[in-house]
Amino acid sequence: MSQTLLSVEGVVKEFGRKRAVDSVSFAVRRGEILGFLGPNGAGKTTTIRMIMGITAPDQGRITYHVDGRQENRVPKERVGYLPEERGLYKEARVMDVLLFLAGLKGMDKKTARARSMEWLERFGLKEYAFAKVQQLSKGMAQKVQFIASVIHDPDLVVLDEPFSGLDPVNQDLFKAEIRRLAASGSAVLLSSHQMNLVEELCHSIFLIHHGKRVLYGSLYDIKAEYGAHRVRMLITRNGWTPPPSPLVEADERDGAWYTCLLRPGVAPVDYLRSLPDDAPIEELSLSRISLHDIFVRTAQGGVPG
Amino acid sequence: MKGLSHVFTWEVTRHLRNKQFLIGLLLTPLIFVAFGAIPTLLAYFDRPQQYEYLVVDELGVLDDLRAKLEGSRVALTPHSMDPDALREKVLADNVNGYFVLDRTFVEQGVLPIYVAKLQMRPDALDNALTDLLQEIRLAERSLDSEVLAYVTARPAFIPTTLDVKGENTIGNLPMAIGFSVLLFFLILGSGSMLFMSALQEKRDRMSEVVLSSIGPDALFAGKIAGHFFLGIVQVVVWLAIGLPVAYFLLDIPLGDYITPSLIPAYAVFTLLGYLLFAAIFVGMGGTMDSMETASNLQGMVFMLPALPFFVIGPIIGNPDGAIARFATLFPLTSPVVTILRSGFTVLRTWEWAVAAVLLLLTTAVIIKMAAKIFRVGMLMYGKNPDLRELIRWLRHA
Repeated sequence: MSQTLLSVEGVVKEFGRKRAVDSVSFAVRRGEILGFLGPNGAGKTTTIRMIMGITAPDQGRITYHVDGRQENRVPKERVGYLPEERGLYKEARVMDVLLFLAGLKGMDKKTARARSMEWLERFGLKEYAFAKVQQLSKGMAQKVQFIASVIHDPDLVVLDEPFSGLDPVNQDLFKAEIRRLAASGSAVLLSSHQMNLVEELCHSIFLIHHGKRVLYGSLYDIKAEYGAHRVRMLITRNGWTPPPSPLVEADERDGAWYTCLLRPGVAPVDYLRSLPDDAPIEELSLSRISLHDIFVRTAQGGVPG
Repeated sequence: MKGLSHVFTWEVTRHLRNKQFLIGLLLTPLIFVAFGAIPTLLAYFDRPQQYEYLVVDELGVLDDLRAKLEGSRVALTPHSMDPDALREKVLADNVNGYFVLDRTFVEQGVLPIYVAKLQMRPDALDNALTDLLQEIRLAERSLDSEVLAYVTARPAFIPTTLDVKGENTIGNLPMAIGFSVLLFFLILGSGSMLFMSALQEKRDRMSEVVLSSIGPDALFAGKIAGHFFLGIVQVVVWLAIGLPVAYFLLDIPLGDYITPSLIPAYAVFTLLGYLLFAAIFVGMGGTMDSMETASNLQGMVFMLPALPFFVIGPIIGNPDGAIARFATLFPLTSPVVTILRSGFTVLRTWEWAVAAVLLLLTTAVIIKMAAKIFRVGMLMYGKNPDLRELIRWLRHA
């Protein structure tokens, strides 16, 4: 992958006696989509606010690598942010809000107006450009919020729960745009509780819990390290069940379906070889443990895997 | 401060496009004009009350008395001494009452006025009867009518103030009242708009997006500056409507009421007073999610600009009294009170100076504190802070 755009090193944030973020370190590269995950109250928003320069860390360092320079202050004109607590000025017109927010990012009015129209057209909202925000549906407003966070072509985009409340069609639209942003060289930090979407989009994952790092690495590596394989079979002969195996950690029978979770590190092919040659298996599927399961186990305090 | 000008422009343009703001801008002076005109209109349509008394004149002075009442709203009708008829007419509510002018009146100075029910008596009648009594008594002592007129002439009291140079001026009371009223409305009008603007930033969940682009201090300062400009626009529009009405329609000699030497001092107190309350309003607005969930503490903030009202009575009663002096120096009342007081008395230079310095220092401290509260409050959702929490924010922000 290409150059690092954001590096977070040993960052700590305390509120009174509570340590909300505890020695967190990670990096995001250009073109990378990093899934920043964690249960509610884990320290995600606090970390994101420090990255956005809204609050300052008590310890540690956040560095931005922009235009060949290293900066310790957030280059606010080069970052885009879609916070979880978001909205729009209800009584203002869509175009006015976009021009105001683009202006805060240093864009001149003419460029901002042209770019706003491009984005509104892409999201099918061209005819709402001069409508008041309060006339928009929730999904439309969310699109405008998304546009406001990326209108200035930021180098770093932080998206906190961008999919919440979106229908599947709009989810696909957002996914495509997020992929496009990364493909154009932006670094994307994506926080979401929709694990299926994170799995689809993210190259790497950072999982935070109680303010501390729990998992960090590429999605593949994490699943390889912590995610054992799951084998699911449709068995045609009544009463037949695969014999007990030391390779299996847990199993379950549900009618004609048999599912087993292999021990970590066990190759599925080794397990399949251990089955009798005449095993009455009609259908067979193989999958890694899902990110969802890893997340749930982590949130419940268990060790992932 | 990066972004300040954007916030300033945003606040100004969106309010100047807002129908409610524009309606308020034009309607307020019209309401004032209407309030000013209503009493005149009512007086025009409402005939003033007329009084009629029956007089039993045993002294032969009724014509003298009538002459004294010429042009007043009191009519006197002669009547014979017939107590039953007199009583009947008074009780029938045809007249306001009756009285008998006889020697008892001259010798004892006592005049029973018989009425159906107790009611206000016109001053003109009392004055005329007093004058009449004095004239009769002096005449009985054989005093010359010229001497009589000289002795009984009432003095005319003409309040005339002097300026510093000892020249006769009309005084700067009208200007002081005008300025303090304008400042009060500037603080109240812009203050409530600022409060709503800060609250709206949170209600519409915009604070985090905006704060990811500019610092909280730029947002804070941009809002205050923008609303100060809007406040000035309001005042200018009001004056543009009000002054011609006052000058041309009401015939008020505005030029006589302006003391140019006081304008710089008034401008300083106006600016500092606005900044002080603006900072308080923005800071508090930043702590709230909605008006519905406002706590007592937050509600009390709205009362602060009204504090000068509580001391207006004592100031008019004794402009150099302890209360007036305290209110001049106390920063929350000082802007309006100092300006107002300068119309009733001559403020010493040290009073102007100490009041201005105290106000300046307090404003600086309040702006710093409000900015801290604003910085933390803008990112807090779902709860209203109590006083303890606000103090904690001040310590840690």
